[in-house]
Amino acid sequence: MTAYILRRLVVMAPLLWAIATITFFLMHAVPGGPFDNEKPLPPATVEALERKYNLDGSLTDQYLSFLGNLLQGDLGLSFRQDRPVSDVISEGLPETVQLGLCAFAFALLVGLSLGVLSGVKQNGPLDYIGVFVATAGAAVPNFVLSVFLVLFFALHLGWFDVIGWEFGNPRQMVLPIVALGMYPAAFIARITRASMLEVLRQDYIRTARAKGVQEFSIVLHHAMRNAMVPVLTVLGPILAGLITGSFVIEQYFAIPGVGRAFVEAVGARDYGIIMGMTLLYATLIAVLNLAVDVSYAVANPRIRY
Amino acid sequence: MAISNEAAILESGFAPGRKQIGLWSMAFQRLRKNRLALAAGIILASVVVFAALAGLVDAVGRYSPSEQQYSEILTGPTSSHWFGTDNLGRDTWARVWAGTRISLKIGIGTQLVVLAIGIAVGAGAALGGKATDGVLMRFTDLMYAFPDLLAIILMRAVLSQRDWPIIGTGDPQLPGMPGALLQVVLAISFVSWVTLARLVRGQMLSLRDAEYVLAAQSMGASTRRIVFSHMLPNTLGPVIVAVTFGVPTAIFAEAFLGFIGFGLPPPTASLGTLVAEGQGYVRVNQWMIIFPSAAIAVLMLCFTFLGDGLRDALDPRTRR
Repeated sequence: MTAYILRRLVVMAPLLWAIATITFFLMHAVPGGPFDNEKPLPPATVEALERKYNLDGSLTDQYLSFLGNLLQGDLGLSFRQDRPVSDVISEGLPETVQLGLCAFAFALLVGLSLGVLSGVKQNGPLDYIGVFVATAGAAVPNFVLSVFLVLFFALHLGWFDVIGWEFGNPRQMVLPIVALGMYPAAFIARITRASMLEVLRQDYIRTARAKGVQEFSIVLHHAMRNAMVPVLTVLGPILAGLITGSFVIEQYFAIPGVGRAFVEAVGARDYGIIMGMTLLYATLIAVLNLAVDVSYAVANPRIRY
Repeated sequence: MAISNEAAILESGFAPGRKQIGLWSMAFQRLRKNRLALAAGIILASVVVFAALAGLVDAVGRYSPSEQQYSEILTGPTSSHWFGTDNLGRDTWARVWAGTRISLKIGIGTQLVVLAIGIAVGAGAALGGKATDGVLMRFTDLMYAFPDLLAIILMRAVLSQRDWPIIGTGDPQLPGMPGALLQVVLAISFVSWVTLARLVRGQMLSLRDAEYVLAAQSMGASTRRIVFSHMLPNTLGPVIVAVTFGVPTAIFAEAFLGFIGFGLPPPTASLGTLVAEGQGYVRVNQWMIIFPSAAIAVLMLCFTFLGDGLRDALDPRTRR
């Protein structure tokens, strides 16, 4: 197991290097430079700026010096904000991670309960509600959902604030979390339901029923445990997707997270932030995928690496 | 012995001369029984017809999507403006249909590009030998590890502000497909072909050793004939399902780009930009955001339900 984890970590390095390289050349291929303004700057100023931010050499030189800095853990400076990229990211990351983790918890709670309930009471009214919510939740984009949530709960009923994010303040937290977590909740509910249906038809469930185990205990201890294995596989990508996919929600609710910083950075050709964010997100995705594979082996002893 | 067997065959319904049901007609019959998928298909078909008509016939489109009427700004639904008007006095009904047209073009256009790349890479990896497979699959792994939305935004930015012909602002342009629209299509497709490539590769690998392929080979069929007339048709089922689910994903991606300001340039009315514009006036005129949002939701719901139905209908395991 340890050898497997180590091997995966070793493979991660060339992967991240490849992603960094592609991103580097892609973002330099974006038309326009970081110092393009409506009112053009004097050539001497541009020259000085480019020298300061290490943009005066050829593209290959820039690439090599970027790689060298990266190996030392230096992501460079943000042109727009004139401070280290790591500062900009570490400033916005808490909000993004808070939002992502809360939405993940919401998705787990809602998805698992909906999925288990509709699996246990297949074709009952609860099942139909569950399936409808699962399908609708998966089909409606999160910013469209945000629109309707804000219209009804914030503007019509006045229960929540329209924008803002303050950790611990439910008036500002509930709507973004629900809007972001609805899609994964629907996804988890679908998988849980299908998996429950399959597990509940197994022989050992019949055995448990035959020896008189209470239905509640059968569902909770016998069925759910095995039904969770397929759900486990999707949790990693879901968590990664939640943390790296909250641009729109951050934009809509004016949450000062890193997603919003990235959108602004692409518009402003702020190379350092684009690169830092891409690497951060790619690392997150790779690490979470590894975590899932490991947890999969822990949950299912038949799998050996 | 022979006679009794014949009787059994006759009884079980396999009488000679009885019409055989193929995969496709059976799938169609099963799809017809799935009322949700059928309803979604009918709604989609009418949306397509309506969206096309709205761009051609004044009686359906009622106004031009960019025509401004300064006397009627930010109204709710009225008898002359069924969906109300926006902050510049433009008719939301006409703009929502224009946006639907763009979303459909992007959804379907993206899937065409994805199909081309996905089948080429998937089939190439499965049939091109071990080295090709290794290179192509490492490349798909790489694309898979790239954060999706980041890559779409970046690709979109790379393709913007170009004076290239067809996919830029330069001449010539394709009729009905302006360069900016094609740029969005390409940006989304470059990121979303990976799933299909993997699917096609898996299908092809499992088919490569199938008995009927062996039979065709032993009868001397050329590789091209085997790939195109034996293997490709049999990968079609899962591919069609993947494409149907890919359309709403692309529609979402376009709306997402439009919403964060990387979509089509104004005054083009895409559904995403309409929602973004409406967001600024949500306290003044809620209708401006309600109708485009609902249009996105309806489009995506219909494609999802249709995809679900198609998957059930084309899955050989559920065949009775």
